[in-house]
Amino acid sequence: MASDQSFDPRFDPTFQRGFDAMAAGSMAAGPLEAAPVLPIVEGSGRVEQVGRVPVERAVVERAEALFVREPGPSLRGNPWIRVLWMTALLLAAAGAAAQYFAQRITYAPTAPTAAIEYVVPAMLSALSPWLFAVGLATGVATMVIHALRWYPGD
Amino acid sequence: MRPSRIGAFVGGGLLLLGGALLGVSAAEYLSSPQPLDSFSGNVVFTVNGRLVQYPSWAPDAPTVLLVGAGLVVLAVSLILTALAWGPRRDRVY
Repeated sequence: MASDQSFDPRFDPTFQRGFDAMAAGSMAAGPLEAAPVLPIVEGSGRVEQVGRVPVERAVVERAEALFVREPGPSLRGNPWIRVLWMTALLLAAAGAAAQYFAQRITYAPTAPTAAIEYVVPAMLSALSPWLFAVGLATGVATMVIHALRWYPGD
Repeated sequence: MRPSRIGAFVGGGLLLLGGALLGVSAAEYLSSPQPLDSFSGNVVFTVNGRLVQYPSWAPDAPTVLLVGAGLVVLAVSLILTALAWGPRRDRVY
């Protein structure tokens, strides 16, 4: 015989497959009205009974574990987030400044040394895209971290 | 060793290696000026009382790539460090 818990709780077990009338003598004999369908988990509250059938605590806890998101570690007080924002700003600003000064030196009317005329602008021009791109990517990654770790209580 | 620390070492190493190679390349370029053959186009410099000129110079692409990769790895290790940080009692690495 199937246990009572295998029956659909919304309907009378008398009319469901596998019901044993002798074994279920203690159950109510009269016809049952259709029970309202209740959600197993409503927000954070616990449901102790669905229709007329009590719900075991373990079932409720398993359902809550499935549907209720556990908050992860918060970013509150995380010093590395500040470091990430500062790094992103510094790298992006350094990239923009490197490009600006490379152009300025290249088109300057006078050049005191070959290093300033040729080497410095070439290095700045070569490194500025990396600096700018890594700075932007770091900023975007930091924003994504904020979004993923955001909770209503934060 | 934590992944973020490994990333910091690798990124720092790449950055140092790329910077050193860039410096060596620039020093070699600056130490080999060419004698002045004409005044057309090139900027003229005075080195030890002689008029010299330099051809244009650009850093090697692999060297710049080393520096860029170092920056990327450092940034990623910083992000990993921020993600792994937790309050002292339940810190996760």
